[in-house]
Amino acid sequence: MDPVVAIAHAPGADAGSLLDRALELAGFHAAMAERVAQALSARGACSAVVVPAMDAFAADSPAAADPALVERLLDVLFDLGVTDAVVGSTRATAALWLENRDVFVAADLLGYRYETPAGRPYEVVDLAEEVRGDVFPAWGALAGTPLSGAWLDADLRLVVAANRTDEDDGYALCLSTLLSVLPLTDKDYHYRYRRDAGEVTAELLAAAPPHFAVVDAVVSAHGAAGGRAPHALRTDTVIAASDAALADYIGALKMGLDPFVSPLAAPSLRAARPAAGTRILGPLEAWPGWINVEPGMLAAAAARRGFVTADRALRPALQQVDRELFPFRHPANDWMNRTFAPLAGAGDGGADGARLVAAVNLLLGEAERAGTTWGVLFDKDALRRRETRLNIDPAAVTDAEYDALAADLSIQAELLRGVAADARGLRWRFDDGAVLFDGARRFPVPFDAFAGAVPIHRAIQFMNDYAGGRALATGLDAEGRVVRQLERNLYLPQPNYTAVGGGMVIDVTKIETVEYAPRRQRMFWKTVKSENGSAVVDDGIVTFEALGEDTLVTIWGRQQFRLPPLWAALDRELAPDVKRALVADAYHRFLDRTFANLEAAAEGRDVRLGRSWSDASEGEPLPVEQAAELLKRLPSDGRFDLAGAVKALLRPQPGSAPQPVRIDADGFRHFEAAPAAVPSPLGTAMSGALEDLRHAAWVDAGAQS
Amino acid sequence: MKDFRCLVGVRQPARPLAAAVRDRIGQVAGQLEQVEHIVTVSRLDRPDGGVALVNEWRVNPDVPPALQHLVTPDMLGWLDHSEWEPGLGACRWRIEPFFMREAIRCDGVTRFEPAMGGRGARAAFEGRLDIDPSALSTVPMSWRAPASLAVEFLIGTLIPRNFRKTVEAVAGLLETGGQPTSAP
Repeated sequence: MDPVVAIAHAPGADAGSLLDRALELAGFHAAMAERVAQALSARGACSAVVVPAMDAFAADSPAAADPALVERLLDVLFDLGVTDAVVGSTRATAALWLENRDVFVAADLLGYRYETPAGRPYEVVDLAEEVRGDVFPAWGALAGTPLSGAWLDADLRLVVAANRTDEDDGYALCLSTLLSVLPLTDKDYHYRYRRDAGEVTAELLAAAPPHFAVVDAVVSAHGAAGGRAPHALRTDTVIAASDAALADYIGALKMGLDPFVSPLAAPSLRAARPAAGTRILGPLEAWPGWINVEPGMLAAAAARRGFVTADRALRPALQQVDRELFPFRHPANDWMNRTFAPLAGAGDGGADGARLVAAVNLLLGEAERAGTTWGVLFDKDALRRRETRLNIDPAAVTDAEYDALAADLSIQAELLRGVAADARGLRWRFDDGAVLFDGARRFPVPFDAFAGAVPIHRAIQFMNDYAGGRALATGLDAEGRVVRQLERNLYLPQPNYTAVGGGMVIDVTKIETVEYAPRRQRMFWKTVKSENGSAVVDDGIVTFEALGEDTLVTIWGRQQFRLPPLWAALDRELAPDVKRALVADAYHRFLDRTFANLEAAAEGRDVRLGRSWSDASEGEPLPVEQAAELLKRLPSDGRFDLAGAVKALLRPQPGSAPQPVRIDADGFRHFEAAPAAVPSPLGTAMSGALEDLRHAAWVDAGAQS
Repeated sequence: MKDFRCLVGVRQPARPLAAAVRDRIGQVAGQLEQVEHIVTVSRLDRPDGGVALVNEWRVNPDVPPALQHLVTPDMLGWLDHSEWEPGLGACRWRIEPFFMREAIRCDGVTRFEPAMGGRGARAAFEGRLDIDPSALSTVPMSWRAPASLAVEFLIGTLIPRNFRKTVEAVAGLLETGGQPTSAP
């Protein structure tokens, strides 16, 4: 059927009749009857899963879909011939800090009666209980994560959103509700901090889209604080659509918003933008009296989200909660919530509180930026690794593009012939704004051993300041070795000092080929996309070749990265000699550290920088739990190492990479053989500060010992 | 005086759940935070089907070092006097702590209601804590504030929290196939 969205509006009408009208206008019965008939004829049964918005913290909250409307929809489904209709959801982040957030209990407390108005019993199912892997593409943001089997297998999949504003996304409608089918508990951690929410939603929609979407806008939740402090507004409307993204598009218009304001929804909206054939039935005027989250507050919330620890600590403190139904699990969160939630929701439509929260958010965002800059310059292992998806379609890359790569790059590598190597073996020159360079290092390791320990198709991942990415092998040889690959790489800002003036993470997507010979292996890569525009060009060749009993590694590259405005302005003023010195220094560092990483990889050591994300469904321990652990370790003499405690709270968790005690001239990290003796609190604070300064000096000195 | 309330939802029908809380609570003591054991001291089955129970709870919370000479291990526990309705819909209870027994009054009611279309239950625990200030006068002046805080923590937090864990543990016991020893 052509995409259709119907807006049923009637002042004073009851929810059931508005739902019936919207479904009728949208052609729901005809569209679903066909699917039901197919299922019945194939299996003799037809299943339906309805996922309603349950992200509410009080009974009768307008931030949740009305249970009565959902139960009415179940009756409609049963009337169509569905034999098994259930309400499905999963535990979300709030289950980590509130009691009674299990799906069954929360549904009960929010008003689900487990029986439809027509007296048909139905089940509420936890969609995390039976999951499947290998659902999402290996190159995507959700690669390796599970999805609900019940949702995948359902003959009919439906989503019912509440109509509400949202502090993170501007609005939270069907696409936001759809995240409830993803099984990992800490939704914020796994699907917002660790991964891009827009990419997550788009991949989920591609893998298992709902067949119909409904927005319960009978009583809506508006206000400047979004779902954190929802304000009820009667809007007497139900929206029904054949496509969840289309429902969101229209829902956002009714709020008077640019639908693309939502980073969660935007990628999916671009794919479902109303086009020829789309039918929009009903009034599109904005809700009278509607209060949105102001754009500045959205930006401030985004800034805070970047500071994961702070965001996780603050959310429980700011959410308005009926603590009779959903008591806090931790007394500290209970106390903070009693203190701060009323302030954060104060004012007309929550506006005063939202402005206060926005100010705090901006401060936290700035603190995070400063911390990240410090990490880039002096403490890279404190940074979080980056996870992302491959952002080109593997099927769109042609054989011709792969086949041309080696010849294209080999001739460019010739352009350094005649350039003399400097005292440290670096050859380089400018080329149309880019830098052509190469360098080599001889490793006292037999070629076969080296190539066995360092798979050449992963060579880019061992390069200096590699912060994460995603690789997809697209071709293997007869021996199962990668010969074609697509790869998206993220690197810390280059040169690192540009982080001070807004330097961007280098984000480059590459086509790669690999050649294997008995005594030589070569990998070629060409950048085809830079999502954030950070790179103009980043092409290269890495060669491993036997040299007697040793292995010679040569790296050639052609690179041009965009400088942030401040550094670009300075760059234009630099004297040529100064600029040459800076470029040479940058590539000395790059090659020294990359070769050090390759040697470490050959020895089986982990060279990845930064700390990894937790794969646990609950993510990392909540900040309040970490703080409680720290307090338990308070020395009995009453002295408290505040600096050490704060550092421990913000630093890597147990199980993450240990901290090096120093980094030598070749970039090797040196570690303590055994845990050091417990120092005095004052000593810890002082030695921590000194260690940071020493570490900073070492890193800043780069290859200089 | 401090009122406290705790609502717990579980996926077990109300009557079997209440029966198991009444009759098998000792079996889940090991799963409860800072609880050493729960032992039934006395049980009286009334002719109408009601039950009068006294359970002894022994706990081992982390007492701050500064209070350890004031709060000794033998004080850490209480007697739980409860009167169960014949229909298992509610029980009235009274806590008799071993610590500052004469200063503390703590009682309340627990209700078990069907939920989730009869597939589950809501257990609501409501109580009131009253500390007699005159009894506290026996405590040295400098220790009154921390002592009252400790009492408030022990009773106002530990008991409701343990109630939640008790109900959830008993529901888990039923889910794994255990049945109440005495059917309602």
